[in-house]
Amino acid sequence: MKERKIYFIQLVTLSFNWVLAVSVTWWFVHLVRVAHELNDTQTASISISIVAITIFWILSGVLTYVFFSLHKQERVQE
Amino acid sequence: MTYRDMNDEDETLFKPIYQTGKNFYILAAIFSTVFLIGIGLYIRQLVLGLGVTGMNEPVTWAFYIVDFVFFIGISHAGTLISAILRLSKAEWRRPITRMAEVITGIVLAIGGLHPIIDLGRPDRIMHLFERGRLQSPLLWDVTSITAYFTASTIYLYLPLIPDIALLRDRGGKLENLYKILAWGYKGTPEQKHALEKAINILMVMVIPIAVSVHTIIAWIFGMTLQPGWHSTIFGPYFVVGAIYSGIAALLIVMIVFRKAYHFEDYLKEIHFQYLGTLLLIMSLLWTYFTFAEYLTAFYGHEPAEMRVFFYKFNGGYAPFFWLMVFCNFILPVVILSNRRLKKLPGILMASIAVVIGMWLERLIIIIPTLANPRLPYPTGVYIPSLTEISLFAAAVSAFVLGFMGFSKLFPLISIWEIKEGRLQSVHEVSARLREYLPGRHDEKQVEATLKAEI
Repeated sequence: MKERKIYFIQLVTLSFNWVLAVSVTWWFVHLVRVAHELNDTQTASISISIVAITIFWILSGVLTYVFFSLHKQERVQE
Repeated sequence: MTYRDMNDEDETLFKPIYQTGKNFYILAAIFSTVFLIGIGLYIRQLVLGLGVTGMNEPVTWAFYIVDFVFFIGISHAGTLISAILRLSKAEWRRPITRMAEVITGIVLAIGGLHPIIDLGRPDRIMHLFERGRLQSPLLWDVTSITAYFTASTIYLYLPLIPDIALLRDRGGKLENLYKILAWGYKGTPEQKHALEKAINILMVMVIPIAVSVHTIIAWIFGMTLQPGWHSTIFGPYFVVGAIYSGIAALLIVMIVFRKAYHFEDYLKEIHFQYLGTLLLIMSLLWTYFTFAEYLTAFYGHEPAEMRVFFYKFNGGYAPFFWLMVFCNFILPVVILSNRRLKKLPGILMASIAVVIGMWLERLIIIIPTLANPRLPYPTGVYIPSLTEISLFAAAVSAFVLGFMGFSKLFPLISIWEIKEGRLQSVHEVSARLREYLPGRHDEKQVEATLKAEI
């Protein structure tokens, strides 16, 4: 399989993680809005959202960092 | 592709990927059959509704929720043990971490599906996304399990990259797949450093996430006012129970695959001794938490609590309760504290007992409380249906099939960590030991002494 095709497939699989992070962010923003509509505890809703969103973004960030570091070193070696 | 012995020092670890014996196919066929029967009965449940289960008022949570808590509990084996052993630089972890991480990935997926099975109508999960309420422990649970599943999948994948690169370089079977998954890893010092940094971040992150998962599952029960559930100790109690069942499941998996794939040179007696000691400690810790939980309830003697208490101790659920005590405390402590019994067969027996006992623990927590609510009704009766029993068997089969499938694609023991251990461990551990010893040590002198010794 050509190197470019492989790189493209790798990028697509990496993007799934970002899709998850963005989806989770969107979902929590939606839930905070629902909490505001229903006059639920705003502080708890926002705190939980901040923690959860941060975790997913850090995970995506770590995976992206590894991906680009490994590819950068591969190119340097070549 | 025909297997080519590449004369690698650790060729044994590659063999399961390239060679498949007759027994593998037989076992795969058996477990696949059980799995498909379970799927068939689930489809029947979808068509006919939850009436095909034994659930009814007041026991509206039963086998599916027991299985959910059980499987999520076992997931603590993996990531927690792997992360904690890595963090504490325990060298003996090297052949264990991969299996532990795989357990986590598979059981989280299986466990996470059970609440959806329990819903009856799976489309109702959309209500959670559309109108979920963040005060609900159920929503915290969905969040924490999703976070844990994501984190542990990444934590499984990152240390797998060097091994995938080895498989890619060997060529042949699934070369393109390994090329895609290897992410261009060539083993350069800079790549190793980047990977190590990422693994270090994850191993620290994954521990609080793992603890939060089972704490939140405990709070699904603890935050209610149900007798037998509303307890402040539930959070840590569930976490301890999860780690306990996780270690037991890990031991079973290690013993089985050691025998099946001839990993005797890698999974040595000492690994089982160390994990057996951990299992003993967790048994005692679990017993302490259980004792504290029931003593507190008994001392308070609140009528609704006592109805549940006696139902467990000498009522309808007494056989399950005392079997749980035998499986979780008596048998493991007898075996694991006795040097003559604490050998592989004994450790296997203790581990199986613990897994059964911890499943019973979840049953004892959930059913008696629901069967004896605060309302002045007669005690509810719950008898599991064939559908519920089959789905549990299907879940276990899915776990076994998942593991077997993984062993055909990736090494079950981390090859690069074993090789790294051979090259560096002795030096690193000696250097650390000298740091612990009293007196001052000149670093250059220590380095020179070590080089002379090695």
